[in-house]
Amino acid sequence: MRWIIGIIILLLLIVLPLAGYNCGNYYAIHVAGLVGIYCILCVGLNITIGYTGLLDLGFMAFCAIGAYTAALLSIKGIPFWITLPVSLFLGGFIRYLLGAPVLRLRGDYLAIVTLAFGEIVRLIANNFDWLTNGPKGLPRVGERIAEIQLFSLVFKNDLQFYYLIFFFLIGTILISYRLEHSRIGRALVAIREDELAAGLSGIDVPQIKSIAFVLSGMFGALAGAIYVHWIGFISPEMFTFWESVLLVSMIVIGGMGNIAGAILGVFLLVGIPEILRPVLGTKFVDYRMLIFGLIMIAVIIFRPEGILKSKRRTLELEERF
Amino acid sequence: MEKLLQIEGIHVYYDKIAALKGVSLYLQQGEIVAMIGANGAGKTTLINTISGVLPLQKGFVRFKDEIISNLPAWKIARKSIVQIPEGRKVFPGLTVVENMELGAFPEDNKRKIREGIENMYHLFPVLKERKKQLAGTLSGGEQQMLAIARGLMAEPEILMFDEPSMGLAPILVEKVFQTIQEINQRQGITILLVEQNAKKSLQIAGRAYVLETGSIVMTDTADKLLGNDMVKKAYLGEQ
Ligand SMILES: Nc1ncnc2c1ncn2[C@@H]1O[C@H](COP(=O)(O)OP(=O)(O)O)[C@@H](O)[C@H]1O
Ligand SMILES: [Mg+2]
Repeated sequence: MRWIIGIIILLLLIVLPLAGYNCGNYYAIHVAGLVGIYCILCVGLNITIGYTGLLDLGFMAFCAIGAYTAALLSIKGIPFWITLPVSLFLGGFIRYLLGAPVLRLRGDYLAIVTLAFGEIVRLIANNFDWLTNGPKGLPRVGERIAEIQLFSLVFKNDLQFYYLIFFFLIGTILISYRLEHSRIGRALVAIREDELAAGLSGIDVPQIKSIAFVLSGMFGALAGAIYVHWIGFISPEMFTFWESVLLVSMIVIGGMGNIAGAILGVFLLVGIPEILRPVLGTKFVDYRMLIFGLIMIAVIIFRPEGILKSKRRTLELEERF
Repeated sequence: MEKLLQIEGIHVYYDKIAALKGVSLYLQQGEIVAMIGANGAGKTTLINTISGVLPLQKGFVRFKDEIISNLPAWKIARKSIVQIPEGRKVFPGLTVVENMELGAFPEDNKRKIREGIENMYHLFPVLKERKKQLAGTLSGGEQQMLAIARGLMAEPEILMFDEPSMGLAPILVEKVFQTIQEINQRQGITILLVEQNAKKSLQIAGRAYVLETGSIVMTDTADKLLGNDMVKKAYLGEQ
């Protein structure tokens, strides 16, 4: 039964945009692509926050690293299928370096370090004009971020990018799902629940945490690399602290530690506001922080495990209080 | 006889406060050694130091021919020195089966893990009935059985119990001590049993140590200690 529903949803997600596009519903397709990008980000971040139980307040830094890497290489004429793995590698490698010293310490330090790192990356992007063109962003006048080409197909319009993003999102979800149900996934639950007892069971806690942390960051870089090829432009202001906090909110509201929760969070905090934007005007988008704040408070009071709660999480909360 | 584990003059501090002040003891292959002592004597500290959870400032811990002091906990666990921690330290959000699988974490061979779990079902039939249940929903006694099963899944050479009978109903206490004896006799696992329940521990142990405020004040065969006046008075509640 669940399979059938899943396949129907999958088919709808493939067919509906095509129909929408042919009816001239361009804005909706654009929003769908954006939701897809945020889904990759949140499913990726959920590996750190949900599976490993670590608070990451600077996740957009890795989106930025992926985006700037892809942009800089692409401006030099290097194709997406090379810029993408380079972005992933660089994102993962820098995340490894960031995590190596901090993951050995207690969890709270990570929140502070990731927050600071997020700001550092943004400041570098803002100030290293020779590399990033500062606040004016990339590409510079006269330069161009190359289109993505797959054999003879050139990705140009939002519909094509929607399908590309959808493809990578499916990949992200599958990898995340496999991780959750693997031996490492179980070790992550153990670490989250009782780090001491996990170590006593022979789990190399810093190493397992590091694997999850790095993988998580690579999805950030993936989202950034696709995004910059799609929109054709990036600037530092896309990667503010608030964007990172927004990602965390999506996961907390949707339900920590499960993929469906992360995706629901994206629909609530990105999908719905963007769909309502043309209806309620741009003002609404300014107020959405306020509305999120209220939703967040309500969720934390009435449903601390998030809207789609996982059984494990519920038990962990009971243990703690 | 060869000493399987030797602890020599270890000092352990919490910040500036000494919790162990030059403790020495040893375990021989195949024996049950009891460590009795009042609340706060340093029993948990001792076990955690052997396990690599706490660093030691002086002295050493040797396992077979190797100094293992100050190795990280996961490495010591993989050397098959395993502890069943104080309280009910199962992973509440994992199922019974998953908890046991984690006990064998370093083992990658699925068939071997499944065999291990089957063995645990023999030892603790109740775990079979509850295998798909999340561990957090088990009763206290069942959680203690699961904690022991998880420890056994690592195929330990040395198994250290930190107050396994704490907070259990008398009938379960009986069962726990029986199980420890069985594990020792059938599988030949060497056991360090830390307990406040001195009488029961001394009844199943071969030798024993008495720990008081961070120092070992007495050691002998368990039989002799059961008959010792000072032990009777302080730990067995007899006059
Ligand atoms: N985390 C800690 N920080 C500071 N002091 C501690 C800590 N844990 C235990 N102690 C102290 O160390 C001593 C020994 O404690 P412990 O090993 O837990 O004793 P036992 O297990 O025999 O009851 C006690 O005085 C206790 O107060
Ligand atoms: Mg204790």
